[in-house]
Amino acid sequence: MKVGIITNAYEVPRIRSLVDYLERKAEVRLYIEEEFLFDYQALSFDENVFFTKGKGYILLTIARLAEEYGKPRGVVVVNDARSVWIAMHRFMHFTIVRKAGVRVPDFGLGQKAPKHFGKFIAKNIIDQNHLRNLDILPFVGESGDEVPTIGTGEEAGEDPRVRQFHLFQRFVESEYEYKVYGFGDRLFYYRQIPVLENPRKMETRVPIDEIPELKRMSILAMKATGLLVTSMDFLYENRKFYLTDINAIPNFNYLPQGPEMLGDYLLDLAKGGGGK
Amino acid sequence: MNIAVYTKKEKGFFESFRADLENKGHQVFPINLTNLTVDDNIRKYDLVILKSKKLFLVYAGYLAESIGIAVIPRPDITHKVSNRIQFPFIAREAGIRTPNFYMGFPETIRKTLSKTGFPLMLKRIVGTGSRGVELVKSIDEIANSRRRFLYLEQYIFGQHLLCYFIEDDIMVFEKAPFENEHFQVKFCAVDRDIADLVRRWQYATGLQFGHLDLIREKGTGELVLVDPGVFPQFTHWPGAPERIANICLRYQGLFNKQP
Repeated sequence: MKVGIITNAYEVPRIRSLVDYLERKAEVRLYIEEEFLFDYQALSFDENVFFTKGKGYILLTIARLAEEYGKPRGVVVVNDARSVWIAMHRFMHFTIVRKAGVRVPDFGLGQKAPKHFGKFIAKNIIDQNHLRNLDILPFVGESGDEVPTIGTGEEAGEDPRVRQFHLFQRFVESEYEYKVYGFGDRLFYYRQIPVLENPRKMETRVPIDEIPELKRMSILAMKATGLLVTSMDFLYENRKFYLTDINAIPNFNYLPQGPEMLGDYLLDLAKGGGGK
Repeated sequence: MNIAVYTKKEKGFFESFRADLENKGHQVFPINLTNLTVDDNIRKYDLVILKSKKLFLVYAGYLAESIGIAVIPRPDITHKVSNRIQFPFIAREAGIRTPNFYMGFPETIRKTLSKTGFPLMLKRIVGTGSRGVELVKSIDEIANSRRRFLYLEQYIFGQHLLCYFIEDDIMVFEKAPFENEHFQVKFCAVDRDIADLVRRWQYATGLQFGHLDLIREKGTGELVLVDPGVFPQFTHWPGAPERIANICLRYQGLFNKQP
């Protein structure tokens, strides 16, 4: 059995435990973006399952080609290129999950936050590691506030005006932040003090029982985006949950037995078992 | 009807296109990066026309579509066709040949790419068209590139063709390499293999109009698709703006009849 992992240098230390676990049971091939020459016509793949851990364009193109090669054999790419792209583009994941019936805070793209938002949070439009300017982000302000320039990514084009745009989200007042990890059909629920109040998120994170509304929203969001492995952030305001972020490359090391659980999920998919 | 046209340019094609829509009694709102906001205020439009492939404008198309507004061309197709790492997969599905391409970080390219495979075309990874395209004759020319990663495309020697299509009609012109549709072109006959390729492209994408940059390869005579476009300026097609305005209006009518 062969497992392909499509990743980048930044993620390699984070997948070490997963690779160690998988190597006891399967042949593991690593495709590391920085070291890989993508040759469209010369590449072929014979893996039984792929796992994508990263968001770079070369990496996503490898994943896309792996999908093409795998399709006739029923090979699954976890997560596929399109779902990672949707998760990276915050505007897109808000648009898509809202259409699917998941409640999200009001959101918009522009040079200034819409007036009716009142308090807002500005985030980078495309979520990629090299654009994470943590000195500025996330930026919380009130309508009318100027937001500092935030990098937008290659896809936005070379026009300098794109740098003046931001992704705005109405600020949701919530005592806790809720995090749901999804591995196929399995969901794991946690609660923590919001990261804006306490950036050391793991200090306050505790596992909680299943909440039916979170379960419903998580399943809908995963289905709409196509993400098979994800973590989702929710806030709770006026007795309503809001999905505020969806992540295509969750840090599964934060879950007890996370690497083993993900490893078993991938191996089951590789055997054609559907990921039990 | 209120029609939003997300467009980079308000000259040329757009002027006639707008005039035609306004003459038919519609209100046209041109939107570009200068006046762009993308939020639920988009609900005030009855039809969204994506004249541009710019990412933020395409977001507007996705948002409009998600709340039940007719969008033409479809944002998903605009996104895929305008993206160099997506369109070869559509072309492959349609049985259309595209040039081979390589991607990698500059250091990896320098170490691993065969030195005999040049010349290659250096292109931006996202976006199509001739802007930012460079002919690279040897590895030395890119060894010290400051780009984060490189997209290099096989250079195809042959006759460069600009092909427009609107519904069942096709126009073909010969053009000089590395030039876009606005330069001088020479009218050509529509060969049967070109017509066949256009039909397959239309079938795969659902596009009713668009353009394809093709090269008829020297030696083999095969057609190679190097750059597709979703909404060209149709510089060399008299009457195109009016015809496309009609297609957009017809699409809106059909869209609203859907259950």
